[in-house]
Amino acid sequence: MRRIQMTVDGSAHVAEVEPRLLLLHHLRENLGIGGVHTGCNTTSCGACTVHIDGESVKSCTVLAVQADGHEVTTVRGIMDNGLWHPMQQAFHEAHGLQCGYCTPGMIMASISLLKEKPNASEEEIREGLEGNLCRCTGYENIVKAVQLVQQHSNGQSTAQPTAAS
Amino acid sequence: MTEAPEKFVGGGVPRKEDPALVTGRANWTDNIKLPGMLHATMLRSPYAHAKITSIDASAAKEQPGVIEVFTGEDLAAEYHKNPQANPAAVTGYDLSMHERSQGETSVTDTADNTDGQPVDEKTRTFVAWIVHDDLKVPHHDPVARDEVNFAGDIVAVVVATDRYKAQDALEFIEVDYEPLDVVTDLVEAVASGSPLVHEEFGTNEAYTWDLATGDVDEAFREADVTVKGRYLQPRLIPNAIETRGVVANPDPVHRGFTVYTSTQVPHIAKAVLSEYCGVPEQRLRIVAPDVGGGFGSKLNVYSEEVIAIILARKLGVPIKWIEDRSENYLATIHGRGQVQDIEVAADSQGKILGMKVKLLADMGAYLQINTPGIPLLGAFMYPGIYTFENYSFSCTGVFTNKTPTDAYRGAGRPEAAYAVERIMDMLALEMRLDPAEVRRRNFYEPFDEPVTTPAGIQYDSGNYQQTLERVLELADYEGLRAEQQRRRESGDTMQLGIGFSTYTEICGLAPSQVLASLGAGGAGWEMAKVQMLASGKVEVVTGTTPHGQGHVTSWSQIAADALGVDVHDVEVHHGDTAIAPYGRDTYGSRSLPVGGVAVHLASQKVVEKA
Repeated sequence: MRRIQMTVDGSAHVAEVEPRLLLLHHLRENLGIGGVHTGCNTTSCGACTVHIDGESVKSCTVLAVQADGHEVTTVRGIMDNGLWHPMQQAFHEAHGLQCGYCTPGMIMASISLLKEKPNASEEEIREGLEGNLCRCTGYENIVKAVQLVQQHSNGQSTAQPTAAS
Repeated sequence: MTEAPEKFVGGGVPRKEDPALVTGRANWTDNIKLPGMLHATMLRSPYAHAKITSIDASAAKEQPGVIEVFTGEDLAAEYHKNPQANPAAVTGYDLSMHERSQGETSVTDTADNTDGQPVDEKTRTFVAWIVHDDLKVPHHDPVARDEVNFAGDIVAVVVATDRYKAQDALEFIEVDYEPLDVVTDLVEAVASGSPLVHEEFGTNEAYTWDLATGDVDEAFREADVTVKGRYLQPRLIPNAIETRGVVANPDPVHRGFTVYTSTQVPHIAKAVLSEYCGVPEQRLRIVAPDVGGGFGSKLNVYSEEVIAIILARKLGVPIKWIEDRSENYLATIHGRGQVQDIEVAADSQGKILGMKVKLLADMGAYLQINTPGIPLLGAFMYPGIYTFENYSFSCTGVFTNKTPTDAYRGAGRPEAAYAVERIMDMLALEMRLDPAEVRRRNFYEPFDEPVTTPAGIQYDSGNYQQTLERVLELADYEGLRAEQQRRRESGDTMQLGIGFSTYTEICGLAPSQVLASLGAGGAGWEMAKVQMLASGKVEVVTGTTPHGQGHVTSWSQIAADALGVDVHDVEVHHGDTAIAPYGRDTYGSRSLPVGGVAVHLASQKVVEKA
């Protein structure tokens, strides 16, 4: 067993874990964060996507011990004083979800994508999210949700126009 | 209460489901943790067909965290000792047909299972859709005993204190198999001398079901042109992004169980699991929490649900099983799997005189809830929107050493659309007609009174010519053909293909002529309860069970419009048999046309009483 410490959604957590324990299972089973979803356990579907130190990662690809000393953010940790993150709001407004199982992973991957490429084109958004699968096949509206966030943030900061598809 | 707009239906109401889903607060089956809960994992056969000669679980039982390991023999006395054997009896499907197929079977026994007597070997099955008097129903143990019939068949169950330990212990179970000959190909399976999936039947044919109208042989004799094709519908894996999972919790007060399961059909599951496990129906509560997609694969009742309940009963603690993705590929039903032979006879103008369809449909190794019925839904759709007098359809269900098949999106009907559109193209090619023209010549004349199709069902109205002409205009068909010609002549590296397809589907499964003809006349109804509460709010209880469709929002819109209240003053409950004791669940595009209409009708009754 290894003793690890990490900050998750702003709270510090210390735990004794087996070295083989996946971060995904640590978050779900030890910390009780049901908003990180298990889809495949094999880095294929992206349902378990979280941020480590602000960068998106599939939490089934990472051992809990590798996150020792780092800051982990899940979909539960992106709200600001109880207000939804703009990406959460956009998924709701653009009907970017159906069953909702892929949604936390999609939202976390989308936030990360726009952080890297704020003006990503539609094609770049689709490419950027290719590691996240939606079996309801709601990709059109997922892309629209990301574009909605671009429109809102561009409207506030720069004059860069972004065409809605 | 905010002032209601004129109409919520059609008004684009943001989904009420979303807040929990976008903030990571939904209740999936795997999020459920109960005090004292143990975890089950399944050891699955790596062989498609084999005798089990011995199982030694002693080393596995010694592994850390392992509470117990069970083989098929260990559990044989745990199922209902004398079930009606007959999911059909309790799901609204036709009992009499099933009794005939089963021979002498007692249906008088109560659902108690107290004396541990071995079960009747001949009567354990999940199939609830008995499509034919002579349907061969293979015995289906949740945990295999003497023989495994597909790779993925369960051979032992580990119960441990956590999932990692339960998974580890699987490696320590020693099973000796004696591999048997395997059959996986449908054509081979029905050829003489094929290995048999179920030796006792003497054949791999589960049933043959026929439908005929007019005189199709005469039509083929009179024809100027005939074309035929053999089309293959490969199997597919439904692959819902949330895998299956179940938590069975013993209820110390009612001596029953609350079962949380990732399902489309809690009501059907309640009926079937009650029979299978010997838990009186009134002591079984099934809850479908938030469900991450189904696509037909969760329109079923599975071995693992039975295992969770009987182990919760045996051990007296909650039992959880969560399917991993690899198991999902092996152990959750597959879709499709057909060999389609289709022939069309036409006159010199390309007008169809008759159609013959012959299917081999892959059942897999066992029959799940709807397995034999799925390809037969296609029987009514092969004629599509083409009118002619003479039609014959014949489907043979075939056992193979593969995962059982069952419903997947469209279930039997997209397969029909594929074959009929391919054969229409073949007819166009043979007659040197434009593919649009051959379709145009065979459409019904525009109609607004019901017409009877070659398959004997009614279409209520249609104007297919107009639709086709509009599509051709929108697509600039002439222009596309000219462009195609240009590219062919210039040898362009990017060639242009133009395809045609029509699509018509029977769906919205409700009590109907079609369901009755398939032996399911008692199925298909739906329930809604609409209640004004003392607070002025409205409670809607529905028997439908959404898994991504958004019924909470849609049913709120329907009730709000009927009652003249705000959409946010309506609360919708679903998916829990304690709250919604009656229901027929969600599949086959039935929820809105049957369940949504029930909400509307119930709301109107409330208005009438007011």
